[in-house]
Amino acid sequence: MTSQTEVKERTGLKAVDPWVFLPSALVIGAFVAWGVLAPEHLSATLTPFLTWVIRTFGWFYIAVSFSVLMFAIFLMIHPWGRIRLGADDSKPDFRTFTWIAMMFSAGLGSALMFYGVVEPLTHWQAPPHGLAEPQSDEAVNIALQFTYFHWGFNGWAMYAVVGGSLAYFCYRRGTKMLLSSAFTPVLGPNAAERPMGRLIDVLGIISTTFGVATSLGLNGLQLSGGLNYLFGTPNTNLIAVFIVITVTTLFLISATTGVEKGVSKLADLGIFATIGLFLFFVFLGGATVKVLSLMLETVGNYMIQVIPMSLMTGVGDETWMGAWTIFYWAWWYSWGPFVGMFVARISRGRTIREFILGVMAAPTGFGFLWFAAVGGTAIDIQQTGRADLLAAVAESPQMALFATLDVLPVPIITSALCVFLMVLFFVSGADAAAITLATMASRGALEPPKIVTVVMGALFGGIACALLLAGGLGGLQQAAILGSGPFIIIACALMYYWVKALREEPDPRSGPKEKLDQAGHLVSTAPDPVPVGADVAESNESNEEGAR
Amino acid sequence: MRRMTRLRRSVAGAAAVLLTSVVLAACGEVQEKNVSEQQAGADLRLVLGTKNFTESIIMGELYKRALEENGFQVVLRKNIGGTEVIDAQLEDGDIDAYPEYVDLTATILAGEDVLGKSREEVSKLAQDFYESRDQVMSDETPFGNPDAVAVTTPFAQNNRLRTIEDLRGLDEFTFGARPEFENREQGFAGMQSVYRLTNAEFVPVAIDARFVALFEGDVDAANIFSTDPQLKSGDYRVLEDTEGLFGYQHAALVIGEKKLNSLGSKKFMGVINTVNKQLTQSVMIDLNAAVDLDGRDPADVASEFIKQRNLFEN
Repeated sequence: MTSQTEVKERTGLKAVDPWVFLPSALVIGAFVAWGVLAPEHLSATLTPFLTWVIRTFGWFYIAVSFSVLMFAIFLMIHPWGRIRLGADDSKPDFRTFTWIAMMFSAGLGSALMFYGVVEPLTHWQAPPHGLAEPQSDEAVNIALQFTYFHWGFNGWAMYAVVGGSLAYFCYRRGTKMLLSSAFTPVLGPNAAERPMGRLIDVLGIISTTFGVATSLGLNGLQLSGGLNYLFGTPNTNLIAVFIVITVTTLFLISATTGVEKGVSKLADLGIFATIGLFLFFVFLGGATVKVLSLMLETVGNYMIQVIPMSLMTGVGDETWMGAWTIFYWAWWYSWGPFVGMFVARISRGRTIREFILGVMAAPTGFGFLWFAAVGGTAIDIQQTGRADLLAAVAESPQMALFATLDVLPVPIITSALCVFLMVLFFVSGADAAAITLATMASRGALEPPKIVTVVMGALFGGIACALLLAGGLGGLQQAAILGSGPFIIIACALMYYWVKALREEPDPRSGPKEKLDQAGHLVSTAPDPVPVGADVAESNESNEEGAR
Repeated sequence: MRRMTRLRRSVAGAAAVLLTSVVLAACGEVQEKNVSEQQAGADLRLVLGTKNFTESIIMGELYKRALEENGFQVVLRKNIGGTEVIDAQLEDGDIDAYPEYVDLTATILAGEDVLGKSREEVSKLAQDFYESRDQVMSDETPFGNPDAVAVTTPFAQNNRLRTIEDLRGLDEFTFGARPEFENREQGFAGMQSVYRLTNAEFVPVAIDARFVALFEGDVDAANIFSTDPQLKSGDYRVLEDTEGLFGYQHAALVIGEKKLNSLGSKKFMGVINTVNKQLTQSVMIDLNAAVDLDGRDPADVASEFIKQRNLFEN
């Protein structure tokens, strides 16, 4: 008689689709080996290629990014927005606060730590498109506005469209939680088994692994910088290895306690600590009134100008566009499969409108406030000469946040809090990525076997460390961005097929208004057009089917 | 069943390979020192160096300001040192670019003899030299800053002096210059042979004291630099170097070709050349005067200049 865990492990590995997992592993392995053995060669090979793609297809990235934003707004306004991602009577799995916190820590948290000081300060020093005089007061507004733009609605609208269509097909149409599922209208019900479907899923796994591994590596670097600041520990490989071991242990604990317990608790904790830090910057940063005024003015300007900004192709300023906006769009798209799928899996039971509004506005909204508070404070510190942060950024962007905290009250406490947050976002990001990757590799199982999750986590954790130490992180990031090229087309296809499927829905306006009386447990009288309940049992069943 | 075992093995194998690579890699030093350069916007970042005197620092500040107006991120390292030192830093990648005087490139770096060569020939020597190292030179500035010979305006008027050659008409005169100037071919020795100034007597004068010595009448003529701010006052006249003895010393920005391409060579050079085009002899003297005589901050002088000239209004 085998033990319970072993039975679980067996179904676990059986759940893996070798036709998806093995090719992905092969490609990833090849790139990682390249990055570890010849980091400079990898980067030197990819750089001209990447430059060419960005300069040649920049307009396309801008066009798609704009369309996705418009599409998301359209869905939010259209009556389709009332349709639930799940059966009509389903309820959200997570409470709204936790839901937002999870999206925040998977998709934004560590970036805020890194870019909070660096990006506003950088745009202030050299404003884009000659829109303001460098280091002037107008440049402060421009700097914050462009930082919001790069971290704002355009990127999250893409997550909302990818995640929304996946959630729709998975929870309402009962397909598997796979990128290829959204292609069911063209590839047929067994889309995930078709070569084309598998190719799409392989691309998803590769771009997720690359994107996540580089991001984790960068987090690790910043963390090591933070420890260096706090305890004077040397920035050496020994410390890096120590960080990796610690974080991996934390990550394993988090992952093995399950999605809900692990990720959501960490995310809640993280968002509280981030809010605390945010309040610290606003009220103890030494520029309270200025920061609050900036917040209002710049967020307002961004809201008004986001659509014209989305269409800016920067003719005559192609180098800047390539280094910033288009680079960012490409980078966001390389994260699309991961965050898109992650927000899909935590959003069952929400209406499309609620989902899009939540994904697009909630994490970004806090992000704007954060950038205004942290970036505004940093610029004020530079302007008043309390510290030379521009030099600090030039010297080492990883340390910019700590250099900023250093001139504010209680730097030891706030820096320790930042280090704590970095660990936390590191762990929760890795956790979310591991589960998402495990789902992708396990034929879309919503509760992928723990062993697969752990293996996935160990895989990209290991990739991150190896590249961190060998120096190939930059190369891998370039690979991730290049890999996002096909995904941009996939995103367009997702929009098309989602609308196609939505048009088959009965008009939500003609049905009974169960939405309004939901508390009254009204039984819907409308014909239920979709198979209900893509629950765990059913998706496991379909896995068995797929294995044959 | 069998397939599952195989899979499990391959997964375990992959994990083992990774673990080994981590351990192996851990034996090396942390090499990702400039990972920051892989962040967004990295393409537009550059480190600009300047030499250790006012004119070079002003040029650095002008470039920095102009580039920032156009979205480039500039870190300015001022006061690095003379040609040999700063060139070594450029080669080592400590800086990405710096303004250099073309004649110095040809003589000190390329080791060529430029005596008697035309301005075009000297430029060509410098360009070829940089090209051989995969470096690129911007357009040259209209101003040049070679050594020059100056006299006071009254002295020039009384003796009808316009060119260096005219000094030959004097019975005898004293010539003040920094001590090392005396025996150089592009110095006092060259003046004596090229312009046949056998009537000159060399007087060593400290570099800061040249104008005072001239003004006080301690020397009749003195060696100065063509863009010295004191020339602005009108008290002195620079005698024309008709034989081109002292060369031309126009300045140009030098940058590695690879770096230039990643910055976008057309736009970057457009910015640099727009600035360079403005820098005529009198402009450069004014800028030097604002810093050296009025004691202003070079960064402020540079910002004000770019703003007043409206160089980058779209």
